[in-house]
Amino acid sequence: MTSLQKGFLFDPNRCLGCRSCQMACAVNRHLPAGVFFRRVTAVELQREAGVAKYYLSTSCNHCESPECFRTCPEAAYRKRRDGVVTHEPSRCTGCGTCLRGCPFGAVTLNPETARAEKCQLCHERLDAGERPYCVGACPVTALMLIDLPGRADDPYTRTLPGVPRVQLTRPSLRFRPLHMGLQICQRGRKGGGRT
Amino acid sequence: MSLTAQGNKEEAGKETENSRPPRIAEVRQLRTRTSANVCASDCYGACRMQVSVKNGRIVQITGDPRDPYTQGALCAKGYGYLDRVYSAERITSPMKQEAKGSGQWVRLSWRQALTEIAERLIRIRDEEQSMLPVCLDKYLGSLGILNRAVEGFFRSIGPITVMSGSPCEPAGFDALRLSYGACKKSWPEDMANANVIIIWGANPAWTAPHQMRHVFEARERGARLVVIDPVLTATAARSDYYVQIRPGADGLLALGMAKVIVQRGLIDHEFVDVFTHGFEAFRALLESIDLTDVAATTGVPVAEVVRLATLYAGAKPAAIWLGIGAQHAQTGGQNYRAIDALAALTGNIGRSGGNVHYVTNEAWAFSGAFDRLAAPDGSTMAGHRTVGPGRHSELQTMSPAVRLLWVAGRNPVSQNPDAHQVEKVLRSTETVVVADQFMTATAALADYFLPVASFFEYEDVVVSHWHYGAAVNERAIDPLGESRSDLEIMRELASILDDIRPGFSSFPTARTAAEWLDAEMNEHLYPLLGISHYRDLLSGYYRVRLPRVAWADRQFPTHSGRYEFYSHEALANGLPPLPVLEGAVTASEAYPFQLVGVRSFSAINSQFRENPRLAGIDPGGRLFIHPVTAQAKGIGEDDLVHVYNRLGECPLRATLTAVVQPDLLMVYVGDTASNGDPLNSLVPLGESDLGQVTSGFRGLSFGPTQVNFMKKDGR
Repeated sequence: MTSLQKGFLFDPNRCLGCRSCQMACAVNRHLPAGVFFRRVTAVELQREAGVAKYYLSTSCNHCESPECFRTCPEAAYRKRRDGVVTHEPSRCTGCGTCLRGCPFGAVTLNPETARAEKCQLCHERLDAGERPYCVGACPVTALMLIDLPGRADDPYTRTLPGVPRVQLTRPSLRFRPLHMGLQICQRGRKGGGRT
Repeated sequence: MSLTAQGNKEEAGKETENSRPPRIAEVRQLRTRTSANVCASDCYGACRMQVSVKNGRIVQITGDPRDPYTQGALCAKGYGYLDRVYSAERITSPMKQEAKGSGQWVRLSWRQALTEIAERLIRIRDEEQSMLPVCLDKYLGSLGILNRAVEGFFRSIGPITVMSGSPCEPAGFDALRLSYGACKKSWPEDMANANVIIIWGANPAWTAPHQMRHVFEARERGARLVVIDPVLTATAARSDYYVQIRPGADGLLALGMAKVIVQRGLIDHEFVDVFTHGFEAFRALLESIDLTDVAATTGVPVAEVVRLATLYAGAKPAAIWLGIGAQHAQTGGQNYRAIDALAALTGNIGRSGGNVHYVTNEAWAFSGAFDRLAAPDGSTMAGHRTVGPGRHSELQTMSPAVRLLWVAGRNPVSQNPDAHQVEKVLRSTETVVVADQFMTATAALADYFLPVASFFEYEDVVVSHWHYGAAVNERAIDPLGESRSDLEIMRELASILDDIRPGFSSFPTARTAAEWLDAEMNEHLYPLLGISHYRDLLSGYYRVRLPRVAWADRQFPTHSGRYEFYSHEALANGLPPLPVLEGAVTASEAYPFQLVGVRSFSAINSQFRENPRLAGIDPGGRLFIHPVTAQAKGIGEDDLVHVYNRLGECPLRATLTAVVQPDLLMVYVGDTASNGDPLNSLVPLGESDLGQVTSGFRGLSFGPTQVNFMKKDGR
């Protein structure tokens, strides 16, 4: 059996920016208001053909070489056999090493407990055969949980336009390539927009 | 079963010892109850939910995976109900305000509050010999069938004054009515069969996200997605072909496309000859259309008008989805008649994958037990005095003037155009009663606040106006605090009136909620749903039986029995029989920018904005400006800017984005400026050209809102 690594497959051509994933996670994980394990951000790039606009939904990437796991002085992190990186808050002293180390800013400090917290990929739901809250909340399957393919037969990309390509920790996140449609935009009337 | 599962148990045990809030792993192992619920907000989805309840408290909300429309996914607001139900901002006791707008509220018992209101009603009747000085302003804050109890109660006390018509969709309703003879649409999933989908003036990615699954399904089969919108919305960003149009110019673009379709011989002759009426008159109208003018006014180059027309006409079946947006214009109704004509010209009507999709009332258009209530003197709702949408200022000039205003499921101070005017009227109305869950801008000007239970707190039924699915709201939890359902509020008020002044009301106070639901649904909805009792809905997915494909029979209930390019009903109503666009927008030197409101994923009108978790994503109070426009005014990201016109002034924070046209400014509908003013305080009270045929009054145009803006010193 080859080593298994669960990861997220994200399709920017389907993501609606509706924030269902972000809210489903925060609400059902009972996070304090303003704390999110998953975030949706809008990316907007001026191109010759128009505005390349898409949404990006990201959380902990459950890296193959997780920096949080490597640097935590309390050994509060574990990497499961399915690749999920878990965190045990009861071992956490809130020292912040992982917050500073994670290249994706995926670890947050819970203001109510003063301990680090992050997406655990709903591992107890996975174990019960259910989907993570975020994946289950997507109305258009833009966000999916997959077993990552090997490097040789990987049909997906590892970055998107405007997103820094950070591969040091081998994040378990793949994308479908972004497509852009034809755009006919207004250029503003003479004088109108320039007063 | 595995080591991991045991680990979870240990983890759960530890957390309990630490007296943390319960985590889901832990909750799961204890006994929880699941409740079937359905969102009652004014939205397309009517999403069914699975709600976990532990010790009388909701601990988890997910979508119901058995719901074929949502497939178990809710929207951001839907998950946020867990916050909303238990929000610290929610008001759960009846209250009385010492002086309107003073913020000095005193708690009352229900008995006390409703007795005082009952006495005021009786005093009005005694002094005026009429109930017309009582006005009901009720709308779509909650779409449960039992929310109709409010209208039912007011029918039971005699003809009153009602805020009538609709601020939402009536211009579009009229357009369909005049063209087709009725408003009908196909099942939403039929959109997946289209070869071209034009989404026109709608942003379903944020307002009807589940529908995008059907749109994507069509695309995976090779269909092309076209979006026509003044703003590069989330939906537009996902399209194959996006056309940015000047706001309100949609009808002219459609006429330009129609001209190209006719000129190039792309019309479906068989359909036009057999099933339409007035084509020659319509063709004559098109002859007066100059494509260069179309391009100048719409901002869409001639070549693109041609591309749009040939794309739509050349890929049958082609569907058009009309949002609410493009009929909110001075020519809104005729805009939609012109767009409807495209479907008729190309024979896309009555065809799977074709048709025009627009919201309809088909599933709601029934008269139930609440509607049939008559006052003790036998007078019915037909005797009500009606006031047009947004016309609050008339309440005080009409005779007899309104002395008691009852607002339910509505927030007119935030959502009406010319919001400051509404505020003035409320301040000077003798008695204002607001039934709500939160201290809205309207409630802040009330004399009495009546706390309404959320739809998780009483049994009810919700029917979707989009996919026609019907579902039961089980009582998941007890009403919070002293809050009560609309039915319970009205029933107790009726019962108090019975005690003080027997015969004042005919409201049947002994009838239970379950009996009301049964009485409301049995005549029309039970047969249409194929059920014999509303609780049958709990056993599966039921939808109102309407045809999968609208107009497949090509039977049009118009004067001619055909689709009417030239409408006889319009003529009979003194309206232009052809889609003539009257009332061009004039540019303003002092206010050169047009303010457009679009809907955020985080709110429905002013609802849900109290949720701090949603506010953590969409903080509100934003003005979206094109970077070039911002630069010309020396405005940077997050700068404080003041938007102003003759009606008011709103301080907002700037967000620079190229999705907005350079001479437009964009805000989110229902948002509030940092001085607390609703953004609609800048929007003039204006009408669209249609609405009166189906809704009794013209719709509201919500613009054009001409404004100017400047950077405010100091951040």
